[in-house]
Amino acid sequence: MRHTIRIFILVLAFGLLAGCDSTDSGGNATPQSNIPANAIQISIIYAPESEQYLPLTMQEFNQAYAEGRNPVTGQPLAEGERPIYITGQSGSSGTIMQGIVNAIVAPNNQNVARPTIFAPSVSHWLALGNYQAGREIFNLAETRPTALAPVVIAIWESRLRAIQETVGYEDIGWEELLQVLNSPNGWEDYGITGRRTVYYGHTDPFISSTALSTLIAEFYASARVAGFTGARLGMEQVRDPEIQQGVRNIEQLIRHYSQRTTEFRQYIAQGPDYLDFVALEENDLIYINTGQTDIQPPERLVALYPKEGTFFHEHPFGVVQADWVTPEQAEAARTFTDFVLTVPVQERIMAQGFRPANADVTLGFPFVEENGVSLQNPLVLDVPAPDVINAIQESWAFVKKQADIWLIIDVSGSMATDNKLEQAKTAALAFLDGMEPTNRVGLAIFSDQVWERVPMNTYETNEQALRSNIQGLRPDGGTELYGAITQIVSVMNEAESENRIRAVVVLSDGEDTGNQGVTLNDALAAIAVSREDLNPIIVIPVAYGSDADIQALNSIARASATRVQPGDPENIQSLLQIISSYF
Amino acid sequence: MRRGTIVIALFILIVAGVIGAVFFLRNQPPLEITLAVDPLAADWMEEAVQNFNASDITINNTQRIHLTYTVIPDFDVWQDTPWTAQNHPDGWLASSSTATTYANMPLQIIAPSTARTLLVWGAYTSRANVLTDDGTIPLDWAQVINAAETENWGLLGGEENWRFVKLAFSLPDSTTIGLAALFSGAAAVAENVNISGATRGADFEDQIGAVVNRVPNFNTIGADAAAFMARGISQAEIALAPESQWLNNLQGIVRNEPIIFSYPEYAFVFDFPLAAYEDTTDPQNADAIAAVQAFGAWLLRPEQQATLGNYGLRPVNNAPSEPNDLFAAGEQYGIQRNPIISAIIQPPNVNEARALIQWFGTVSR
Repeated sequence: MRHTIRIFILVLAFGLLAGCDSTDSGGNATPQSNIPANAIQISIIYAPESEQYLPLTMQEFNQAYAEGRNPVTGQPLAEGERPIYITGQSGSSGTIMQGIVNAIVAPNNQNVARPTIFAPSVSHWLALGNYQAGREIFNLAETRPTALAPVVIAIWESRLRAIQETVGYEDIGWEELLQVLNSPNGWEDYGITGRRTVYYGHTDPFISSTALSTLIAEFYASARVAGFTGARLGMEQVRDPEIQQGVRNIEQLIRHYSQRTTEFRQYIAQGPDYLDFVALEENDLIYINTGQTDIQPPERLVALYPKEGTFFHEHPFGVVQADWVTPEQAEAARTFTDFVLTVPVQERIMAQGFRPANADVTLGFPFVEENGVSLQNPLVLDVPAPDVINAIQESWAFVKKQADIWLIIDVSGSMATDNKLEQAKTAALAFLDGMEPTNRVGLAIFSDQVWERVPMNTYETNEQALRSNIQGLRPDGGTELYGAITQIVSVMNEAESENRIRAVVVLSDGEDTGNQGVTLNDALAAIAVSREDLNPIIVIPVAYGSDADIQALNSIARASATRVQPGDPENIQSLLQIISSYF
Repeated sequence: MRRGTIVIALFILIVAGVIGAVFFLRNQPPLEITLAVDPLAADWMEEAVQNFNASDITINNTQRIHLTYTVIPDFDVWQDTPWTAQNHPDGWLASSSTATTYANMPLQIIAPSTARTLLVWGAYTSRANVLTDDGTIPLDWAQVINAAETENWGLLGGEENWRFVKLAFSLPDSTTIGLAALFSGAAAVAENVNISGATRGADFEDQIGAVVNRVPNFNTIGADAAAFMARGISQAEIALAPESQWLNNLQGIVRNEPIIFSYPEYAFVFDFPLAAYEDTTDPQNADAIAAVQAFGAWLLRPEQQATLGNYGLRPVNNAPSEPNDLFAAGEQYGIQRNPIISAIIQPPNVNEARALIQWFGTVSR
């Protein structure tokens, strides 16, 4: 009996063990430092300003899966649930949109990005992408906003107060900014001493969301002045010559353009001497006012929400509907979007100056008056139809402020070292690549003397002469730097004044050794002649290499309220491309 | 051997046999069942599927079931990419029986409804007071159409600086919610629940066209007009959205300004039907259908129906059970636990729906 009982107990124990769940209970997997074995891999290309929060967010997302957790719920991965691994990079919204469209319409093109998620600043690009591709690349109904930011005019507080006190009311918009431009003495008529001219800046609407929204807003403002009372801008208004002229008038306030809004954050931080106001996303203004720029602004920038209305950028996540995105990847993209919309991530996004897209997150710091923003919701404009947005974008070429540009290149003997002149020639050709046909461009060179190699004329006319002259440059002789600047600036001063950007881009690698008796003071005096003009000449010195005379170039830059651009053979091409985007 | 020993040995053998059989059968791989779920049900399904998989529900008494789901908008199924015998999920939880009706594919309706929600008006109080004469008349299509046609709040008796009327509802050419909004408008214009033919008339196109044109930006509304309202009164002032979306976004909305909710006279009910794909060529299909049936039966259990209120959804046959935070919070703004629903819209046929979608495309772009 005792033996029988032992057998019974053994069998019972066996049965109890067999009744236990034989499957592994899961729990924490060994953290993977690399991509988990069976992960669904997705990618995202996001707008540059999202760099402030998305890389860390992606890292957290990947880390959760590496640890066997669902990042949205925090729970261990369910049976059969595959991990997700996301990679990403930033890219200008317009450029990336165009690339995705190209990838759709020309599948053999290997030089374009094929992300799972396209996250531009604003949904205009998604609608434009669908319009240009002729098919629904992005399902707009399933696209979700992830961070909100109205487009504002970032203006120095002193300028805004001056306008408000002069006009006698607080609700300011494009109408009042144009009044400053058209006032006989500019800022002086508003009690601001110093420069009379209004300096405004915005980016390229083919590349930048802020610029595109700003240009649409300018069309709205112009249309209202022309008597348009409808709620939504249509093709009729965009094609109206009177309304186009109104936009052209606003664009006359431009000091220079730029490719990316993030670059303008640095420019305007230099102070009112450089720019009076610039179109930015609200988060960029907060970025500046919280001391994150390289230069600390000398006074407070405030957000002007134009009385005519503005747009909200909602940083949507658009899942690409293309043959390179599988249903599993689309679902994984949705999961990542869910994660970005969780409260902790939204709070992090808010800390970077974006309004949260998750309504459960209460708007808090840094949205305080000290940072120059208002918590009141601005007037929001109706978004025009995609074909109208397309037409507005294409109108920019003839409403934007045209430019007169002299490119001055140092061809002294020292430019032969380290391949400097060859790199500079390549960079100068790249400078010309994006030039508008109606801009006027001239080329001057200097060594012992100054030569106006290609007199100024439209780029369309001058293109061949410019390129062949640049390609034929040879280094030899001394450095008549001051003479070159003085001569070319004087040529510009003597030319008939038109409402165009007037710029001199001078590239030099060494100290002035000229023997023609022209001094630095002569150069500064020539620049000062136009300082009080409505379109003063801006001189942009490029200090090329370690032997460049930084001190002299700084003096020259200060004279026209610009900054020396440091260049070397490695970066000179990208530097000149950036400068080219100013026009 | 003694008799007692034999009995105990037999008992031990039988128990061991049963345990062993159960062990063997339970450790057979579960039947993998895939489910397509409309986004409107996604939050609810996330927890429901997890709980179902953790239960011991079986088919054929022994076969466990493991559900996985993918969020797929109804439109993707019936309008864009119908399923085929070579490519289909086993089951489909659509937002509305309109979608399963429009889908031209072999479906077996397992449960005509597993949950409900209604299309409801929401309007910021300051705007609603203007349109409803301070609440003396209900907010419905007549008031919204009038506002859309007038365009400007100053002319409607509101503040001049409110500028243009801003409406919101989801894209009708991509979401059942948006299409339902157009059906709702058609019913109001036709003053009839049967709207076949009503979406083709000049009255509908003029009046509902004006409403469409007062949506400032369809591209950014997405599928959740209530969430869009939460961004503030400068972006949208009045919206038509499912009650569940309103309840889930209420906290954010009322941070801006109080809101009032109003049930349209002609109701559109999202009934969340559960369907299984029928494929007579697939020998596994019978088991798959049985599994979907088991899931449907589980969803209709009283204890599962009682959880629907957590997602702002209503049970199939009852009012949301109390206490329920979402509905309780909504009641002070006009949400009703037992709204009177006497006129339920009967959607038109799929051809008329497609023509309506095409019309929307021309009037909105």
